[in-house]
Amino acid sequence: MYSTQRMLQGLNVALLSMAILTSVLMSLFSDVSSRMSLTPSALIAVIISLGAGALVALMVRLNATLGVHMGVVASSWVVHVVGTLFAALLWAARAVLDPRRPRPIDWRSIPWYAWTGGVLGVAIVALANAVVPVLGLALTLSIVIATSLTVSALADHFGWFGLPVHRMTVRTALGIVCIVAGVVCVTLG
Amino acid sequence: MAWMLLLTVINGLCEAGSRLANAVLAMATGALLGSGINHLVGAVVASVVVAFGVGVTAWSTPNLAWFYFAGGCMGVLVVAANNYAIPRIGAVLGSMLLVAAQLIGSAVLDHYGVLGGQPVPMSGLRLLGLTLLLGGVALTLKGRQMRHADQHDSTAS
Repeated sequence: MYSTQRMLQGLNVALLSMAILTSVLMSLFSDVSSRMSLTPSALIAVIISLGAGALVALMVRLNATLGVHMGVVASSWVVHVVGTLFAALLWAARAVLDPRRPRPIDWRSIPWYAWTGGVLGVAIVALANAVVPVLGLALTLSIVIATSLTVSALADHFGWFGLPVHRMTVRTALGIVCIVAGVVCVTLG
Repeated sequence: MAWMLLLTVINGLCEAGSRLANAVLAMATGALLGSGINHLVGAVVASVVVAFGVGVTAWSTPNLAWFYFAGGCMGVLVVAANNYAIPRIGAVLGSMLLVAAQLIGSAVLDHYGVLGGQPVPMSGLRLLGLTLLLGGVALTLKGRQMRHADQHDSTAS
């Protein structure tokens, strides 16, 4: 009896959120078709990012189990070594499939901080492990995401590190608030 | 507690810093090679830490299925996707899409108990959260489009 009630309740919320979502998406895509303001490569980037997010959902679980068995840094080591080998494999496969000479890389033009992505990646794993047991997943995740979105917004707006400028809008600011609120709801629910 | 909050903020800074730094690298090397270098550097740093025996429980894991070792392959694709996206749609929108898709994926995996032991059924609060996530992405996309349209108008006139 209780479970039936719960299912109906869930169905209600599902229908309501679907309705909200559909109306938002419809207004969005009617705009795309009428103005064509999103370039094709930006659209590809949106789709690829969504796919990457779904992969992260799976990856986090695999890595967490690996971490329980091997230890935090040891599992991170395995992840990075496997990743390096896989990237090398993909790189070789592309060279075979597409034998055109690639665009030459100007190594000297690369600033020093561009090399630090992997270092920070290991730091993230270590920090998350120190913090999550104390603060809990909901608080940790919402603070991390709020901070990283704010920094990203600043970098976008001012074109930090020579990245292309994407100016801040009121909608983007509201979007950040929505995302953080959404993270809190999902992690508490 | 205050220290933990500070560490969490630093974690967020590292998260954004890592993505931005790698995107800068990838603008010179290309998305895939940039992702490979990211993982290589990470492997070197982790090797040093592991050499001191920090964060190591066991090296042999006979009871673990092979696919638990495939996380790194997904990591390469994720970082490459990030490298492709940031110059084209910006770091904010890229991160938002990633987070939204990740949490939707996690909620679905939770619901069916995939790879996580006990299933955690979808709740009203979770659905509200997922809707908020998608709403946030939609708002940002919408704002971006309108600005592009404005710029297009101003360059045309």
